[in-house]
Amino acid sequence: MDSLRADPIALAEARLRWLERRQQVLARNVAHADTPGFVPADVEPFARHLARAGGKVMLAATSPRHIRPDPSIVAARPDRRQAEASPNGNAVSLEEQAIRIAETDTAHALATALRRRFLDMLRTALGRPV
Amino acid sequence: MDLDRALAVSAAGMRAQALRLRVVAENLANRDSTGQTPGADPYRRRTVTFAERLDRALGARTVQVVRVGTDPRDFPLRFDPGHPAADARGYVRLPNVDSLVEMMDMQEAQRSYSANLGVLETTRGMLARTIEALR
Repeated sequence: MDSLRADPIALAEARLRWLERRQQVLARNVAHADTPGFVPADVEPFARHLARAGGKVMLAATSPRHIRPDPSIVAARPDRRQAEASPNGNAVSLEEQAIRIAETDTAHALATALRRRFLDMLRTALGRPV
Repeated sequence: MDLDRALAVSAAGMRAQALRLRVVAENLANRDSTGQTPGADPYRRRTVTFAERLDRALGARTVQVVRVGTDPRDFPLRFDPGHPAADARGYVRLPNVDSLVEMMDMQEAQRSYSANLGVLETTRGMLARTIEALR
């Protein structure tokens, strides 16, 4: 999927999908701020996700009934390098989650703005008023 | 859609914290609820336990209060022979509610509730921007 790198709109869409997934994972962490033994999760970095989604290495499917992983699924994994856990085993730091949510929000605003600008450029090229 | 799920997960978190706050209110309200008859048990402090729950309809893992249990701590005793709940030796058993503990619990519930609300607002903003992109 090298077209993903050449096409800013497809790239912005992949980025938005990743950000939405991350927001869901972070929302889950915050909802479990007081659940005993809960370890927060985070999604894999966007660059790695993109490399995996656009990579050439894939499981071989020699039969139509073979199940292959969907590369567009964003993987979420427990994040153990976090701050220390409280006595009940809960390792969610609300401050850390707040920073990540703010990052996600800003990145989402950026991605939607870039996508819009690019569409405006296309409209201009087509000679229509923006 | 992931943002819808994020909204539902935050809402579930707020619901769980609200239930916790209700239990704190019950505990504080019953701080002085002793028994009515001699030697009867007073109000026993109640506790909430959170756990993860898979919401199949939603396809996401949310939080919920799995159990409202009771605090097994011993009841404190007070010497008050004139009290209707006093036992043969003149001691009254009082509820095992510590208002300081309840206050801390309330603070924590409020803090977690606001955190969930913050996430909800951010998610709503992202959703609004996504819809805006359709125009």
